[in-house]
Amino acid sequence: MKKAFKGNRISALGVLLAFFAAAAQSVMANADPPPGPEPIVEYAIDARLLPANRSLEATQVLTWRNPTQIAAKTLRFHLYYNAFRGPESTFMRERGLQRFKSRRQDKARRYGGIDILELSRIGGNELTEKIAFIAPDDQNEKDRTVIEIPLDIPVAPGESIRLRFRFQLKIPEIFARTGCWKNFFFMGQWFPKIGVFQDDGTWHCHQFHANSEFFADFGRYRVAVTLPAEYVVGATGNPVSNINNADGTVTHTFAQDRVHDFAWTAWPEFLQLRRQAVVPGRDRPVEVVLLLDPQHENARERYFQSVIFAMRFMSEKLFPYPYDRITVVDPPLGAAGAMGMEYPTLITGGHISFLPEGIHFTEMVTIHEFGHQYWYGLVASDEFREAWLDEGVNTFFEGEIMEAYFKKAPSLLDWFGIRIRDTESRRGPLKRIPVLEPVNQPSWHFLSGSNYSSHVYNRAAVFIDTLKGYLGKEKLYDFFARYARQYAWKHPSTHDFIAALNEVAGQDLAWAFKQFINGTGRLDLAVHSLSSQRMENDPASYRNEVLLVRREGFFPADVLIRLRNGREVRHLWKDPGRWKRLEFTHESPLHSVVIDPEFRIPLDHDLVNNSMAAQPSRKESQRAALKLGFLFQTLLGMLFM
Amino acid sequence: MKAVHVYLASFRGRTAAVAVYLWASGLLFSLPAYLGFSRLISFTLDGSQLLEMSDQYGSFTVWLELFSHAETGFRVLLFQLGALVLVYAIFSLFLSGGVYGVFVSGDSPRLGRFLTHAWKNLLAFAKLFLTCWLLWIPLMAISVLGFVLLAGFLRESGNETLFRWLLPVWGGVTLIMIGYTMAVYDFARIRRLQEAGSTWKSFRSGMKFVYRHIPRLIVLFFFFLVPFLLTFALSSAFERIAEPLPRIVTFAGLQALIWMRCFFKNALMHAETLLAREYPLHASPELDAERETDTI
Ligand SMILES: [Zn+2]
Repeated sequence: MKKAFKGNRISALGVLLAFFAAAAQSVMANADPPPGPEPIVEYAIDARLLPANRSLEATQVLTWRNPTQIAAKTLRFHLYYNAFRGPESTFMRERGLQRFKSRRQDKARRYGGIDILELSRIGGNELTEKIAFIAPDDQNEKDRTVIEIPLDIPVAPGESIRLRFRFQLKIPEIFARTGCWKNFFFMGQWFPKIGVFQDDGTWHCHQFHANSEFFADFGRYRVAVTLPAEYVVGATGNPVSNINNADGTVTHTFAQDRVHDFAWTAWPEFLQLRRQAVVPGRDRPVEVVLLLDPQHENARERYFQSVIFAMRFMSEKLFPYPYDRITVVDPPLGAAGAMGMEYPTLITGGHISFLPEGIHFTEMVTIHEFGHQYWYGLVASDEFREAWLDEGVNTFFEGEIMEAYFKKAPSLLDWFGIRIRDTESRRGPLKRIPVLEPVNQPSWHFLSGSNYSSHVYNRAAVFIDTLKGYLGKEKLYDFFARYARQYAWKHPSTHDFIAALNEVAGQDLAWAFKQFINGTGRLDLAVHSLSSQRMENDPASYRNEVLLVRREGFFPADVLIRLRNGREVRHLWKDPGRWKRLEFTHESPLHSVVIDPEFRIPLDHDLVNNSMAAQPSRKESQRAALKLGFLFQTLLGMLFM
Repeated sequence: MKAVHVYLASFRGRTAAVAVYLWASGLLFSLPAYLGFSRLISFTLDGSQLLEMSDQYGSFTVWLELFSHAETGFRVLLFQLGALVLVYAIFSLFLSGGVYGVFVSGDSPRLGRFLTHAWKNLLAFAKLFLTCWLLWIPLMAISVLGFVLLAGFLRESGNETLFRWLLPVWGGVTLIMIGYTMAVYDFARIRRLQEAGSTWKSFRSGMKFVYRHIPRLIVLFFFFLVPFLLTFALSSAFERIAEPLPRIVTFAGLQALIWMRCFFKNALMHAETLLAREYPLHASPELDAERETDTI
């Protein structure tokens, strides 16, 4: 809208129109979805699943447009499925190196893989023989997750190339996102997928790593899946047709524009449930499809309500959900490896029917994965190189939505007197990070899987939570709304994120990102000491002194000083020195000092040293000890036989 | 109605008096926990207002901060308390000698008599305790194996529905086995005092007794469990309302609850001795058979 008026001679009518437009915009700030992306890829896949063989045969026609100013002399593709080819793939090696590997998974691991049987340029030459496996990240010769194909005739800027593939999959036992369990199939990262050709003429096409997720260009997908008639199928996008074939199979066709991946699932047992969700800012409702393990019938409402709540929340705060459908898949327990993952317009939840309802696992996973529809799906940051922009931001939103969904109740766990808020659950892993690394670095550079998740999910989310306390909720939400709308379909980087945030904040926040996102800074603010001395010349007043120290890192903080007569004094501690002495004379001596009394800085590593009383009372510590001592006494009582 | 009868008959002043000894010894053994936690927490906090901030931080965060700040201290304390639990397990052998001694002999429940019985029975009870492992080990193995099989079944079949049914069945069977072994241990000790036979003989007659009186024992255990579990509900309710009360009142209230638990446990033990007295070992088989037809 703004652009349309720029450069026009502004007439009185124009001013009036502009006024109304601006007024309308401020009322319905997020009403219109941002315009869609220019498609770069177009996939047409025709796949046949052979459940008995645990294999799949497919043909794929890909149209790729070179969006850069440089001719592409080669093409690079992900063959993600080859991560499961054997123990020597980079994915498997990296998983083996991680500290917390499960032995059961290793035993149950059955290998799989993808083979390209034929590849040709439509209207050009045969390319099958020219396929070369490369390993740009770690030079692992055994890794077959990236291929390069030299072209005789380069793809000129703006021109398109069409390729025809014939490929075949061997489907592994599911343990990491994709594969099968009995006759349940979840198919993600399953087709030859072109990398991202960058403006500098290089390919962004990383290997499949244990800790990294994905990145791709937007485009159109049209996928036909043929399988036995008893299978219930769910997929990215909208159903186009169902055709019954003479051999007793059915061909299900799905299509979707403006997405960057395509996943599907099939299981004869699925209970397929649908609901229409009215979403703010949309004139048509969104169809919510729930594919439920029939053993989880009683989780039906938990799934529907949490996903619809999340969709309304994000639509209201950012911009209306732009697709017509969302499919929620509830994998069976045996296929737990498929649980909790996001794909465009399709997410997998997780439900374990013998867990008590007070453990809000099902809601947490559903809300988290739906949140990805915005950060992974629409804004589509690079999950290989800057995963925090997706997982960190999304984990922050998971907390916001969970708190709103469960209102004042403990949002994550409310069971047998144990009460944990979703936002509280992040400081645990954060405190146990063995080695501090920058949050913003390529996913496969992290020390371990747990270091990856503690940084990219928890540390990043707690950092954003801290920004919320610093800027205020309204300003932060305003930023996210603008950022999401401005960068939808555009793959923003950390640099873009900071620039957009600075603009809304009206200040340069580089100091914060430098420490906690791009650096290895930890934050620990502490009260070092406090004292009150009666004045020699005026016995009716006291000389009060508070010494604050920044043990690690810098972050401005509120300081609350309580005096013994009940008066309170506030101080904003923002100068960057390592210590700060606050001195003042008052008729009352000090009672206590608290740094960050409203707990706006959850990033502070140590909360014990954030406060100090002049004359500590043992009341609360004795009360706590009473609880623990009574627990012990109860235990002893049970032991008496 | 024998079980009901003996249960009601066990509610005596002597039961309450013996419960005081049980409670007091439990408190004595718990003092290191109360004092240890109190010292450790106030040492860790060192004037910090952390606990006063739990509305802002959230209670989970407060405990997390506390434990992670004094991890070593908590580890050491928990290790010491673990050792104390072992000592108490042995000490409870001594206590049970006093409890059953007083109840079986009908002796005065004065502390002196209680301690004499406890000391006199210690060795015999220790032997019985060791012998009972012959029963506990296989039954524990059955329970663990059952769980492993159940977990394996869930993993292979993915049949959560059946698992949800089988899990309580497994729990029930385990509970029955625990009840059975507890009853055998109890009656073996009672028989040991009544008949003064060998350890092995007492163990076997304990098993035999339990086998013959299953319905009565179920009723007895049920009467014990209901009020016993009620005290847990009471204590969690009390802990919730105790927040504004002075600490000493909270502490006293909790101690009263513990004493009630001791009382119910003692009432069960007393009722067991009364039941065993009703059906002495050397009664004629005819008499036994006749009594079998009696209602429970
Ligand atoms: Zn995620």
